[in-house]
Amino acid sequence: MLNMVVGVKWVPDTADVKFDPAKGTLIREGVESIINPPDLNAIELALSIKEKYGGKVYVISMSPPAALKGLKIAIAMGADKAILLTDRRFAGADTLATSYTLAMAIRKIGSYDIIIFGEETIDSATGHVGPEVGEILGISHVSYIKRILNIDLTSKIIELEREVENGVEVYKSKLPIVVSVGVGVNNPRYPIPIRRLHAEIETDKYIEIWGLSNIDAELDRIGLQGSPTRVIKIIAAPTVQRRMEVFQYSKEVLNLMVKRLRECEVL
Amino acid sequence: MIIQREHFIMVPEWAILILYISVVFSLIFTLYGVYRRFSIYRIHNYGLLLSTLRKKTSLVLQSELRLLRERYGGLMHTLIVVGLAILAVGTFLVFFEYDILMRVNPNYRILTGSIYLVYEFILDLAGGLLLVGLIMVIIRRIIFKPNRLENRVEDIIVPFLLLYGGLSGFILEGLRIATKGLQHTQSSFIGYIFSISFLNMNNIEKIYLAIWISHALTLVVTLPLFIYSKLRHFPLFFISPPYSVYEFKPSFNLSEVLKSKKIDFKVGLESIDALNWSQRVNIDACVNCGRCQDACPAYRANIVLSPKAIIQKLRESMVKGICNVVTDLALHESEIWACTTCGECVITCPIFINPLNYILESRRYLVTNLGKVPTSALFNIMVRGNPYGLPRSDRRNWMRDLNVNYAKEDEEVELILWIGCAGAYDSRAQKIAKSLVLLLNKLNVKFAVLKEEECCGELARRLGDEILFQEIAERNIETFRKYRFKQIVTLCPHCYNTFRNDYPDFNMKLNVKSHVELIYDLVVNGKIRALSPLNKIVAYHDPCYLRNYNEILIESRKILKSIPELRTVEISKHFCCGGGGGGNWIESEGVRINVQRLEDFIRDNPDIIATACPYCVSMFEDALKLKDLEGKFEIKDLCEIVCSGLR
Ligand SMILES: Cc1cc2nc3c(=O)[nH]c(=O)nc-3n(C[C@H](O)[C@H](O)[C@H](O)COP(=O)(O)OP(=O)(O)OC[C@H]3O[C@@H](n4cnc5c(N)ncnc54)[C@H](O)[C@@H]3O)c2cc1C
Ligand code: SF4
Ligand code: SF4
Repeated sequence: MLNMVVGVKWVPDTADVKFDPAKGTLIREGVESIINPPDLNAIELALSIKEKYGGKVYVISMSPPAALKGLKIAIAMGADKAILLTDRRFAGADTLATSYTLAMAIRKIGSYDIIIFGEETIDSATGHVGPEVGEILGISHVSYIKRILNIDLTSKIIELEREVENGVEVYKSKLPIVVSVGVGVNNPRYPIPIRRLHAEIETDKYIEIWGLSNIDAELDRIGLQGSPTRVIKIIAAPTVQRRMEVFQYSKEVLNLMVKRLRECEVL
Repeated sequence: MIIQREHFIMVPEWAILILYISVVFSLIFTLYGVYRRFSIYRIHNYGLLLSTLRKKTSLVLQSELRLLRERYGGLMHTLIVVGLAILAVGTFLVFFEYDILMRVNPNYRILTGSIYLVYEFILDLAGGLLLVGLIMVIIRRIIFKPNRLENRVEDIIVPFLLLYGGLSGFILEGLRIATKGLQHTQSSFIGYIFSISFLNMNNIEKIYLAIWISHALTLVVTLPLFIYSKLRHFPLFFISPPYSVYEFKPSFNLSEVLKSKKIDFKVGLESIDALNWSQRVNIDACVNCGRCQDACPAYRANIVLSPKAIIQKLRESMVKGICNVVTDLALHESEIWACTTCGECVITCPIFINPLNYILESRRYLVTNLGKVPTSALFNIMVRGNPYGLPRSDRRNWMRDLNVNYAKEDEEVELILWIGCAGAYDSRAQKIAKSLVLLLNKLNVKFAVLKEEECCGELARRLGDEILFQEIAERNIETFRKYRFKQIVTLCPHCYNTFRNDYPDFNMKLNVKSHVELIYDLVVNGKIRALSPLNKIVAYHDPCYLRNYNEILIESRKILKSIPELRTVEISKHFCCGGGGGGNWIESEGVRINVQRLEDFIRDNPDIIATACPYCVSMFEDALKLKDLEGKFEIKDLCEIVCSGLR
């Protein structure tokens, strides 16, 4: 039995977030939020480990209450339980405070073997949270992993593969461990509709809401006062015009794609 | 001499007794079969059964017409049906006269005098028709068997048995005429032909008796075949519901479930047990004729899916009492996902069986309960409100430089234009949307679009996520309720069908028109006139969701006819373009349905392939690319052709 905890962030769909160059701010009004897409890869990894080795999958998110919607999706995908960390005093956290809060919550869950994060978020994209949680909990952490090669349940040793620029690294570590999953290393499954409905109707059965009082955290390490980072200014990077055509896969399409890419002098 | 029916001449009492006894056995055996069948069907709603009976009786002619779409097979069936029906009535009259009237008073008769002569003539004619029909069956089964047919034991035994029944009847008649001398040969004209060869026969009495017994036994055996063999399609035709293409109803209502907080329903075809009685009768009526298979685009392309095989496999599992369907792979997932939901099988089946229904119910089971779906389109719809997975805010991109207004909640509008995901996101379909807007602007037709527009849910429903579909439907219905408008016009036939045939399940009756109907109206009421001439040959491809689901086919052709100098060619057989039911989103192996459909068209070498659906357009354009024919043919939506002809 393995206990897995997956970190999931509820983020504004950045594709819809437009930059207001006059004010130098992002226009977030009316923008719907979604599960940070790389976190779907993290959930998928956890579920596939569960299928192979058995265990339980917890999903944890530090977010405002609206993230319940996303957690229901995580439950529908197959997570056993979700914890929503929500408290006014958590607000304003930078990656350090976020990681500390998450780490304290994970500690509260009790036993954990594998803590899984997405590669990075689409709204801040630091990729800090995974490694920082590992540091705070004092356990090993590996980023950008591609797949799990083996888990020995008796000796509690995990072997995993990590993709680097020009090769593959294989790691062996004792559990517990923190990993962050490379984007697109797996195909996240479709959230089972009937399970989503169950999560909607019997939310309490699947999702717990925790505030500061539920975890043992030091006040000066959470929220704004726990965050040493300050944002000075945001500027927009110039966007590149992209073109897209959608095809169904086939040999002919492949040839055609090569032809097109040659025409654009990409190949 | 009195002209009248002579009963049981040349037949001894004991033989008649044997006949009566075996008829009783045959009846008991048949009734037992009926009882067995009914217990398989688990019929409980006899009121509905009666109304089905009424409805189906009125559809007999239409069924025969469906058969006659194929000349040989149709004619053959018609001959047999007409022949058998008349013979059955004739036999009943004999029974009525001999066993009822004459028991009361030996002088009570109906089959006498000229009535009897006419009776004889009609029965001879009917027997002749039956024989011709049966010989056609046997020739087709044995000499030029279409691929879609299989020769199972019953497929051979039944026609030969009936043939023997008919032939022996004529031989008996011939023998009777031969012994008694030639009388009123003009009415028993076929029996007369037979009699000629028997005129100088010896031992005629014995031969007569032997054949009489075998003839009688044939009839005795035939009766139970109407339950035990594929002939059961005859009685079942009348009690199996005539499912329409969109006969695809939800098993629950999401908003009620959310209110009651009880999930006590089952979704989809998990096992044979989930079939209700009318579906059971429906599949048991299938005669394995394969007409649906011939009509199926997925079968034509890759043979992964045959609607006939779907029905037959379900039928066999049901009769054998095997429970699991999808999980036990009685139906394979690959067949379930190969269907384009074109509905062609449904409108083809002469018995009004609906193979599509079972495919969709299987999808519902796989997706709603297990989350198994071979495309990310559903997830995209769930998070971004469109199957492309493109940002919500990009939905407005297509109308950037156009004169388009949003509807206002406090102002009534004549017409809401519903663009649909393709028109909003697909770069090719955006051009169609623009054409439609230009057309409306040029003709001064006032319209508005809804700023809340998102996916209509069609794909979710056809791909089997009934929960997502109902969530979307409820949201859209709420939006519709906020606005006041007279009608809503769709660019995409899939949205159109969803609004027209699916949303009423949720108490939303919309006055919805497809853009084809709108343009047609504009042509008819003279708003569109004096179009500039277009000297081109146009072949029109019917979108399934207009043709098969909503019977819109004349309108498109009339619109094309209104364009001066334009010539049209008709492609003889309709097939789906491959884009429906998720076909646009699911990767398929092997031959492409869209390429095959394109080939149907390029044989006639038109300049333009016209259609009226953004999916069809994109399927054809993909096919052109795959065949390296880009630029050789134009693929156009009707509204693009009309718009460019407006002066
Ligand atoms: C310079 C800077 C200043 C910021 N200032 C503010 C601020 O003033 N107020 C404010 O509210 N936010 C602020 N943020 C955002 C906030 O610090 C980050 O969103 C948060 O710390 C997570 O970092 P990230 O998004 O880069 O995650 P990454 O490190 O890129 O995320 C990696 C993975 O960690 C997990 N993860 C990340 N966040 C969460 C979470 N909340 N719950 C569960 N799992 C998670 C996910 O699995 C994710 O895929 C700031 C961010 C930056 C970079
Ligand atoms: S709906 Fe169309 S694709 Fe599906 S089984 Fe019937 S004919 Fe074939
Ligand atoms: S479903 Fe209808 S068309 Fe298809 S094989 Fe059966 S009877 Fe024939």
